[in-house]
Amino acid sequence: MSLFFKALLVAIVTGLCEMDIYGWGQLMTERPLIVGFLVGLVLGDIKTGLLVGGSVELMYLGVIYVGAAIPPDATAGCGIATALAIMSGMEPKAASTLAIPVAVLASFLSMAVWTLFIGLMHHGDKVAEEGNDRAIEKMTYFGTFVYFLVGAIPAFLAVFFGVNAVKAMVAVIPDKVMIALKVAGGMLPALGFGMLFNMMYDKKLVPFFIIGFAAAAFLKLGLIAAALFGLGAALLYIQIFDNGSSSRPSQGNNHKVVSTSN
Amino acid sequence: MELSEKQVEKKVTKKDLVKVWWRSLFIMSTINYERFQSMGFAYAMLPVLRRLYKTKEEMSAALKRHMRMFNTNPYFSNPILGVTAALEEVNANGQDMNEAINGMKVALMGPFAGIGDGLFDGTIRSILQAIGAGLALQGSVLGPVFFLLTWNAVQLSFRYWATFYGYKTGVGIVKDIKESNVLNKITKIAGVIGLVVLGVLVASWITMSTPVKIAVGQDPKNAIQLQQVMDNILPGMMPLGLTMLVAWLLRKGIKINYILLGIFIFAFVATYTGFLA
Repeated sequence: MSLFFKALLVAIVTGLCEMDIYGWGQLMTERPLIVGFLVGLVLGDIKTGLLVGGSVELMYLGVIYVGAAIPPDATAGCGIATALAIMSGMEPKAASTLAIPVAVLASFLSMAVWTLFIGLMHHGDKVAEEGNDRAIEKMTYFGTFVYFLVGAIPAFLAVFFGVNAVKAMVAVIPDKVMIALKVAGGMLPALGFGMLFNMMYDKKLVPFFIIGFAAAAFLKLGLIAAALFGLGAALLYIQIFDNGSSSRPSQGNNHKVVSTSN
Repeated sequence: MELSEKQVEKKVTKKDLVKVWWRSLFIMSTINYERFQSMGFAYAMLPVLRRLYKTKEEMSAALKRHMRMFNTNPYFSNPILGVTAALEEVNANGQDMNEAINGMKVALMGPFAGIGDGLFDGTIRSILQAIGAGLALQGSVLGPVFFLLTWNAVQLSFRYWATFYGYKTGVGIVKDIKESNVLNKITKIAGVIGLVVLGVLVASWITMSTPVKIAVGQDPKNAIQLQQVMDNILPGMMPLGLTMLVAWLLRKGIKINYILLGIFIFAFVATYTGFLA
């Protein structure tokens, strides 16, 4: 097998596994356990694949995708670690350490895609205005394909040109740019929230926004707890202020009692 | 569910909901920092929207409704998709549900994100993964195979069941909408919970913090950390301020692309001057 062909195979397998994270399914083919096994399979050394996949899996066991954060990319990292271990007989541990630049590059690409897809989102507004449902489908499949590339490109580069070439590439990106993108990523959800706030804005209901914010900011309440407080507040609000047009006779008494005490 | 459709009443079929289940697997594919899974949600709802809305105008109104910000745990997107399908059905049959649908989505997405992350990613998957990795390290192919099979049996069947469960629940809620002011109540309740959730999300999903230290005297130990000072007054002051600023600018009619550009410029300037990190 020529090096080019091997690099292509590893890139395709890694890309397909990587696609699973955001692009399609969340079937967990993204997990090192599976990536190691599949890369081992195409390179003809399942045993090493299992060993590398298993040990990287244990290293990254705690990595889960929560809320809006992008964790280090174990998928691309493990694909390369397995390829290195099989192609150059390296120890699994050493190989996965060596693969860290690849994990960093893939992670950086994901962050860049999350940013660039804001543009796609705005194009989505345009096609929604036109009622063009087919375009929404095309963009969705396009997104899936982009995430294939997020895994495939770093994997191909690392196998074909060597891990050091990837390391050099990552070194070219200034640290400050990485940090600035992360800072921007932290701020950007304010756009979506701002739009939602305007749409849901109702002078009478603003107190509930304040309650939610204060509960999370001061009391560090989680979403479930806050939603329960919200539900309680909503029911109370309706009992107190919103009984005017109620037509349920069985509830009539309750409403009257509450409204007279009000 | 009956397949025979009445002439007047528009109804979602079982087949549509199966398609929604299948399509929910794409919900993250256009995820972005501004509105997260909104386009993926619209994509997953399309079989329902196509069944219910036949004109371009109706489709446009429905698509625009689902282009608003949405983000939740992917496995728990399915119950929300199911409820939304039921509410869209009512909307298609003449009752304006725009506000109720949106409020309901915002009210549910937060708590479901929390439950889903904890239950699926934090618990079930961690256990299956650890078992799989253990088997793989012994050199057994059973490791990855066991993990993939068990995990997907759990997550795919949950998503299937939850889509239908959500739909049935939704139908149950809106059944007597015409009899009383139920719709009014649902809209209010969803709106109230939605705003509470929005408040929580602003405080927890926007991250802005400053590493700035203000020197006091000679000893660096006495330096005051600006972030701590702000946290003492109002934690999450910057995320709240930014959201309110964005909302205000949007209401002033400023184009979203300019605000976007502004945030980027600010982020780069603030990073290079060391104000944010």
